[in-house]
Amino acid sequence: MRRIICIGNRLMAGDEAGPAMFDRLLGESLPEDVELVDGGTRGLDLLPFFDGARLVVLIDQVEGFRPSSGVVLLEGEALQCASEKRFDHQAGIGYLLQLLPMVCDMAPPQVRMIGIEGCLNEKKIAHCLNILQQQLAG
Amino acid sequence: MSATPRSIKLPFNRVEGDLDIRVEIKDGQVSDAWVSGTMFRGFENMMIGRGPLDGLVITPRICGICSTSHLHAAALALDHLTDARVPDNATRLRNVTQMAEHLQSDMRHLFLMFAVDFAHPCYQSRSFFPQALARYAPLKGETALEVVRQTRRILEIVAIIGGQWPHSSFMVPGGIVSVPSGADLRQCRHLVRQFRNWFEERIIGGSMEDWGQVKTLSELEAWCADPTRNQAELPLLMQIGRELELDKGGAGHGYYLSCGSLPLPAGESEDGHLLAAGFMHKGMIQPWNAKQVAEDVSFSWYAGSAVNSPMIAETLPALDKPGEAYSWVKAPRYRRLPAETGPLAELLIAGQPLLNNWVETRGESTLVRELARVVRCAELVPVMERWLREAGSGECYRHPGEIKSGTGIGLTQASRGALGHWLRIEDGLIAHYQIITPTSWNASPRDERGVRGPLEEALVGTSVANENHPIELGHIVRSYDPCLVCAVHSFRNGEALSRLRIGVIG
Repeated sequence: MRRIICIGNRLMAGDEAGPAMFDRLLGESLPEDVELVDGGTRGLDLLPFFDGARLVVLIDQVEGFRPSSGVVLLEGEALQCASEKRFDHQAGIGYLLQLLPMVCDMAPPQVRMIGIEGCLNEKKIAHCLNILQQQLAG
Repeated sequence: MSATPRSIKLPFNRVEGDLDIRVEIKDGQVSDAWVSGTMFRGFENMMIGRGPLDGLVITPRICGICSTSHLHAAALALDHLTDARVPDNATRLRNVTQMAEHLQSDMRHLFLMFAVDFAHPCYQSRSFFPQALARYAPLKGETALEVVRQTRRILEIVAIIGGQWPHSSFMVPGGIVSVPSGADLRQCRHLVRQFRNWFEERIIGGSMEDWGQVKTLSELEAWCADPTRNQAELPLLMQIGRELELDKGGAGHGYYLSCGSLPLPAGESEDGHLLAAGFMHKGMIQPWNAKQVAEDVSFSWYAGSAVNSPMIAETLPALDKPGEAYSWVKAPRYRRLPAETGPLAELLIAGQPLLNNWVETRGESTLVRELARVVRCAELVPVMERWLREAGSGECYRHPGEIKSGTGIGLTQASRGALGHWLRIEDGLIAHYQIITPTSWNASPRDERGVRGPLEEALVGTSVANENHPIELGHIVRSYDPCLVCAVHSFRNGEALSRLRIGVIG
């Protein structure tokens, strides 16, 4: 099982890239073993979606990973760079990723993130889809 | 000590991204306080002109934590408007999902947001520090990690009953849209049983039934002193709380409010709620009357009349408002009075004996506010078990008829306290939607009479040892568990942009 989890708040300007990509992916043909999840704003509550998956691709708005607006693929140490070491009401995916190895019921999946810097547009959507295709082909 | 007041802004991670707290310190004590919401919400405006059912989809997304409570309040408002007759099965199952959210929220708050401060290096000379570090340290503490595991499981109940996760919209006027199977309900009972076992062993150190006999402060002390419980969390939390004198400060105005929660299936009670509604002061409880709720914007950046019923009040931002406005949070008032809401208020009004005994004998405090979260879990679990047993194959939905023009109020107790949705439908569309959240009550600014909000009041009089690290104030603020809705949550490289800052500025 592989999962694509789109993260963000579709009601909040600046945080809507993940949900917009979810809407877009609903119309795409995905491999049979890929589950598409609208992760919304649930942060730590998304933990169950990491269980039983061998690969999780997150799609989220990001900040500070590129010198300018665009799309970036993050994995490994790059995903541990967020400083969310403590839980609060806005603890997001950064906190979840720090906790994952310690609280996952099974072996944690491979995690990659397609990060979108700046506003989402057709060019970035195409770039996202291209990266996603490569990840799912692997 | 300086006699000249100094003004400091408080630093809080783990509170909420859009809350600023400023206090004035004179002779080492807080002489005044201002709590400010720094972000315009405006969700209500987003609702106007939409279809009547849209609140069921949009309002659960207002908050990433209390989304089931928002869904319940939105459904109750539509039930009210349509005079829906919700089947008992649906009432039980709606309640159980909201109770699961409470269990998760209470445990996460207590250990991941409140107790984590006991593992702060500023307490390293204290005798409790090694234990606090081992149990509560961020990302490492044994209890902290166990809380994440356990609270993750309990919320699966919402997914099972709701049939969708996350951001379910399974509650609708007239009931719920999903019909859980017998196997679904057995799985839910299993999840509650798992939570009960963990809670009894690790949190209170005994069975919930025995714990239910603890009705006075002295019985609580005896419970915690029992050496067979020295590995449980409650005795340690009480010990640390007393050592830090968290049982002596942090009291607000002494007005408590609960709008009532968890409607009972027919025949269970005349009152209608598992957790009764009411307004309490000095041990006296007055019956709840929703007409006594008003929103005061005298010190908030909103235009319009200073005080208004939420059925009329608008949400018109006015950043350049003349005067002394300092918050995007309105000031809800009940009979023109500020009121604390949350687990403590809710259980005091519901007549919970231990908490009432504590407040009567020792007064309100930061510590009893936290104890209420443990007590609430123990109160809810047996009822969840019973309702899940009783929920059978009966109907889960009864069509409420056409949604006509009219008004509806949906009231419930979210994890942090009283939550209300006020709704008006005209010509098939939402003409008015107003939401009052628990944190609006607790973290409200001053009102037209200049009376502070509950959290502001609770800070006044607190002694501060180190102005550069006023952890005493942090304990008080966190005990209210303020939550000011979702901000932008993008994944950031490096330090998060904390909107809650530390530093002497005066």
